[in-house]
Amino acid sequence: MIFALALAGCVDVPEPYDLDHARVMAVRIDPPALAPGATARIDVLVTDSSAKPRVADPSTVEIRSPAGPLALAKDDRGWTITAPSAPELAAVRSVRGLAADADVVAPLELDVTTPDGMLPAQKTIAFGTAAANPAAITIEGAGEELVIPAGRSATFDASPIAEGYSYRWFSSVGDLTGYTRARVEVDPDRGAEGALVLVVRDQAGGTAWTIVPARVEP
Amino acid sequence: MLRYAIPFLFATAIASADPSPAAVHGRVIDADTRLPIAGASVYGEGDVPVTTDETGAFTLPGVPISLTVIDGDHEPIVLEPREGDLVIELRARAGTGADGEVIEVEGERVRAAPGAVMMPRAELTAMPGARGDMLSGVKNLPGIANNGSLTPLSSGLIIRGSSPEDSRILVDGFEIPVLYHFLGVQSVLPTEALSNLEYLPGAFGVSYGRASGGIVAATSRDEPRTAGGFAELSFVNVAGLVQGPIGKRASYLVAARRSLIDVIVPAVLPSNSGLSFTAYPRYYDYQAKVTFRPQPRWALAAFVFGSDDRVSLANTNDNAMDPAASGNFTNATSFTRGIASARYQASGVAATIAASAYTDTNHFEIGADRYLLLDRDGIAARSEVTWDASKRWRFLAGAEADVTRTAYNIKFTRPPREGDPRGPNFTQDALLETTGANTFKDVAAWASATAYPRPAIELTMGARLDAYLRNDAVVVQPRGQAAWNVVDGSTLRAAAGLYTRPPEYLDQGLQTSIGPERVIQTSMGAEQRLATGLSFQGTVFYNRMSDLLVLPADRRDMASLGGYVNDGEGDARGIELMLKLRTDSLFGWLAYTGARATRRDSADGAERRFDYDQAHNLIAVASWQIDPRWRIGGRFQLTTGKPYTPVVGAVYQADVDLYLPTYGAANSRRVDLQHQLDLRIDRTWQRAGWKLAAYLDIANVYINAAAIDYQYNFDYSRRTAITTLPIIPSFGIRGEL
Repeated sequence: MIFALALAGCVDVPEPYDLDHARVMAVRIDPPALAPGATARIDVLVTDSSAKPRVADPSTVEIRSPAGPLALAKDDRGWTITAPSAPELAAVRSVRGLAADADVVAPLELDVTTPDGMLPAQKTIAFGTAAANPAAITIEGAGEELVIPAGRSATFDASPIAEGYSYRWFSSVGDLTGYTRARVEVDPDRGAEGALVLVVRDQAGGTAWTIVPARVEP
Repeated sequence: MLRYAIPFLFATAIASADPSPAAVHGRVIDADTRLPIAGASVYGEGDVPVTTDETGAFTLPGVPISLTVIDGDHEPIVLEPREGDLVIELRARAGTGADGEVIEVEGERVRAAPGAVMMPRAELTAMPGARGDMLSGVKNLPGIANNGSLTPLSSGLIIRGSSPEDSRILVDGFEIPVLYHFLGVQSVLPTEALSNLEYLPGAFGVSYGRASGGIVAATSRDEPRTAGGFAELSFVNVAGLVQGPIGKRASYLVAARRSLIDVIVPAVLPSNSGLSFTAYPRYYDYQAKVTFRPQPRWALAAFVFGSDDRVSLANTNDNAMDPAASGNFTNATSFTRGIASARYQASGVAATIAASAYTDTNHFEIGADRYLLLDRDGIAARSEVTWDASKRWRFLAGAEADVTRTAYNIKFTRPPREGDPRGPNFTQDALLETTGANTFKDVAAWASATAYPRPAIELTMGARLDAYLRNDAVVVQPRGQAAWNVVDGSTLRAAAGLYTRPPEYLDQGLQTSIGPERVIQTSMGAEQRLATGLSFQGTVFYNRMSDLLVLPADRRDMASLGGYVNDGEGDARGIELMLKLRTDSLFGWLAYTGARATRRDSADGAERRFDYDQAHNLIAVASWQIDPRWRIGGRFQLTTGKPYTPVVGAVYQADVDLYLPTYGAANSRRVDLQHQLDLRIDRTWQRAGWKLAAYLDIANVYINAAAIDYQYNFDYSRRTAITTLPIIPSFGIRGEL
């Protein structure tokens, strides 16, 4: 069976790090956990066959929640969510049998429309105790642009490296090894121009990302 | 030793002079092989038979009007004797192996059930595509689905719409913990250590239990009469065997094999595969048997066999679908089983008593923090007595006990369950995390009576009682079989009974609140001899399953840790046809199975195809001994594809950066039709005192990498087929004394 799987692996399929494959790369709620009555902004990081990672235009995003009483709203600047009031949260905790100080977790369902089709996603948000997203995510050594020498692989490190963080890299300038770790290795495609994207998640639903233009020297 | 009487009335026979007053002397031999038949029952006027000895000889006081000779593996004969020495030839029963070189007809007898087949070693070893492996060759018999049954930790045989764990593979009456080495390339017992193999696809007699599917019962090779041995080097492994007599009353056999995969893998593994073996896959197995006959009626034997498989690798590849599974992978499986047995045979009575002890380990580790560590130790005993009370009655009784202690240390997902399209996901699934030990105590007793109201009719009724003490379950299982020799060479058969499997498979053993799975099996069949060496066998069957164990909660849900319930139901029905040819130089068969197997997770649940449902399975096998030097053979198989559940979409889970697939109707699609041709050529060089043999066995000759399932990429937007290997050439050379 191992042999059979290996053979199947030879078929060309999109890699999880390919930026030219339509997908939702991350959903960021800022802040990811809200105190009663507080408001958060929702951003969706997407890419498609154009290989241009971007925050989805609000007009292409629809969000709903099967659980309430939370308030979702969309304006020109994007989607926002407002946490239930303290009495409303207390009522939800009572119905669900939760402790009086327990966070209430609510699912959000998203549909993102891209030129390549509609992309469904799910994200949860916690109400009760406020939290923050990881801050100041960078790729070490990267300035305005990453220039990668052709002909040999290059490694890049995420910053900061913290306990409980998970890392996810995307690329349109070469194949990646270690794309779920803090250090990634890029096997560059000669002459490629595009981007390197790093998404960082913590264990409390916090999300942050950085998009760095990149090119490979001819 | 007495036989399971099959009331054919086909007769050939006799001759000879040298009259001796008031007595009939003679020998009973196989008509094809000319070898003596030990343990045949010879009846004169009375109801008490005499039994042939090791040389097939018997002496019957007086000169009866008629003589009846019964042997379970052969067609009975009725003849008019003359005084003096007779040579009585019995023909092999249709569907029963007749290769005298290899069939040891002592010990356990054929339990005839519709569809049952006895396979001699010589045929199974010459089977193209099986690389000389007897237990792999059995998959070419009707009733066994061949659609990706190589699931880890399972017996690997899917018989008449049952799950792999529903069937038992026995050696000398005791179960083999593991049937195949890695990848199913080879079974853990070499063909040379076995004498024959009995395949009972269902509705079998009371002697076998703890199986709700079928039985494959192998008999270890007994009493080599000449010294000899072989050494073999093949594409798969290196093997050796020595055997011979110890004095006049004892004999021995010692064999061992070691795989060569760890030599081959480094040569074929791409450097950029991302796989780094810390231990290349390798296996070995070993067997040793000593037989001692202190008296002609007693045979004592000690048999030890075991295997050890191990592989460990570090995987540097990322795993976007299951990050917790990335990193290391280790699988270590081993077992040792010892069996001590005593057989007694005398006039009208045969008895066996055997005891066994075994130990096995099954360690599976994946990723940094997922493991399934099982260590088992067990003892078992089994005894059975048959008594031919008269020409019209035969009785059988037996008992067995099995005590197994399983120590477990688990941090793992629930294993994949039947009907669930999701494979295990070590990141998303709820984790079963527990440490402890269980002791299973299974005891059983059985009895049956066989009546012969007419010479052509055989009726067997019996019951088996199984007590699964850890689960406080006691089950009485009535079973019955009937056979009617309508005319010479034509036999009709019918059988029905209740069969149960204890809830002891993998994590089922953690629960005491669940009961055994139950199956009512029914089957009817016909056997027809068409010409010398040519026979036909047809069987229809229907199995009704209840109390099947199902996991009511999704494996991602913590509720799944609550375990199983006996809510499942199922049906399996089908037809099995087999046209078989056996001559001195040629054997082969054409086997077809048409079947439909369904399951429901509850009485009011939706019916779906069984995971391994195989609607059609056609197998043609032929092997021709052209001359003493050359043998060629071929095998062709055409089968319906395995059912699968289509993925109709996937939703991105932003919290964990994984995709969750959504599925269509369970098992509503099938992979493409599968077909495969295997060829085998054997060449033998005979020299004085030794011989050299070489073979070339090529499986999947025309390189048809058939899909057996599908795997998906990270977001389920693309799928690729998991295929059989496009071609498996195997070459071996053997020197034999």
